[in-house]
Amino acid sequence: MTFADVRLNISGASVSRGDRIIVDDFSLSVKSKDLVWLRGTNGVGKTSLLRIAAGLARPDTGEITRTFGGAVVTAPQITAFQGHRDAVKPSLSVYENLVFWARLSGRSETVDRALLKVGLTGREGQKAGTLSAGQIRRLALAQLWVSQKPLWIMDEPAAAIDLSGQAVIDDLIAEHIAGGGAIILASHAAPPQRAGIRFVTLHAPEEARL
Amino acid sequence: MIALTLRDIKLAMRSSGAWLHGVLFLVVFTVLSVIALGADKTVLATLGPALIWLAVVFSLLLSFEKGLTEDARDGTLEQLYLSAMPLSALAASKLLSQWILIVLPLLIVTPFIGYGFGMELPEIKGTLLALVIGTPALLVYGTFASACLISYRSNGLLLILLTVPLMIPTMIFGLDASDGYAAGGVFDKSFQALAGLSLLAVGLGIPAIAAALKTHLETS
Repeated sequence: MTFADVRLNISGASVSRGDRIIVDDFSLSVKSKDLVWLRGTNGVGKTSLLRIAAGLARPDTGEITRTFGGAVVTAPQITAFQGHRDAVKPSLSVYENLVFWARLSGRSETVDRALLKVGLTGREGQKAGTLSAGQIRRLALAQLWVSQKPLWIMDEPAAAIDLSGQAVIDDLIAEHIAGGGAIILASHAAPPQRAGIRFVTLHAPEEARL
Repeated sequence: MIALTLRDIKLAMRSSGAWLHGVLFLVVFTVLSVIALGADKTVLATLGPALIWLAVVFSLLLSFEKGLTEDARDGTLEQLYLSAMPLSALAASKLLSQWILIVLPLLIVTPFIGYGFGMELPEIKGTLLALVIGTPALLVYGTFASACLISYRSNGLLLILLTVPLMIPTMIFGLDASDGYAAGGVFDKSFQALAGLSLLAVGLGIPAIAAALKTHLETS
């Protein structure tokens, strides 16, 4: 899968919760083949920023523009989001869960390939409720992949996942970037040994002023 | 959109009968009213339509919360939004699946309950038709209220407080239509009023539910 040129521009975004400013004047620009790795301590606003980047939340101030192949687009047209909540229904089987999301993107033929990629082949008929936390995360990654969107927003993809799962994530990321996609992710895991990762470290606003 | 409706039905079928709670409530309510009012057939037959409407309204009030909150809590809602499905299509799909899962079973048992109350056939038909035409409005109000309250953890009571005032006009016209059927059939004025109410509720409700969902997504 190769994608047309995709761009996301966030400029001067601030986010507050109540009277506390979480993110102050944050700017980020992402384009095809970029891998942006957000780092920062807990509560510094990584998830809030990722939700803004995914179009799931609006910053209090600031501008966000998205283009795909040169045309201005909305967030749902280009964005796939993997968050803390995995949108997996325990009473449906692995296959039923995945095929639902694949059908919504009009690509039900990609399901088998997605299962192979995340190492869930052979568990198609198993109820998602009987999977382990790491396997559910793999299923969530497969859901991300079947959407075939150019911009991936990933919040702690490696949570609950084992070493081979970590390798699965690294492969998915490498393949996505090679195909012209873009990724913004937040993770405490050790980054893979590869060139081209752009690290962005977030600081709490109070800390930054000191 | 249909894929979402079908999935919701499949999920409900695997919820070990949770979708039948409404019907169970309806039956229990009926049995209790018969005991409370005494088994006098003439009393029961006159009060029949009103009792059935009450039971349906209460049963719906108990069922509203499930539809949207679960999808909001497990992240399905935000994924549906990002799947580029318009939120109004999502709202319409939810209304359709809720109608099939919550309202339809109630409608199926209604004639038996009417028969149990000793109601005449035209009365039973009138009540059933009034329910078919009126329940979409009730469903929209409840779904709208639950969409507004998604972000609140325990919203059951608030949901009832918000929904009941909206339901009252529908209930008044619904009862009117249930009685009016014997005189004027489905083209009785009361049926027209009820149908108007339902159409208005659905027409305004779908964008309103979509707006409430959008607000929830942006503030969560």
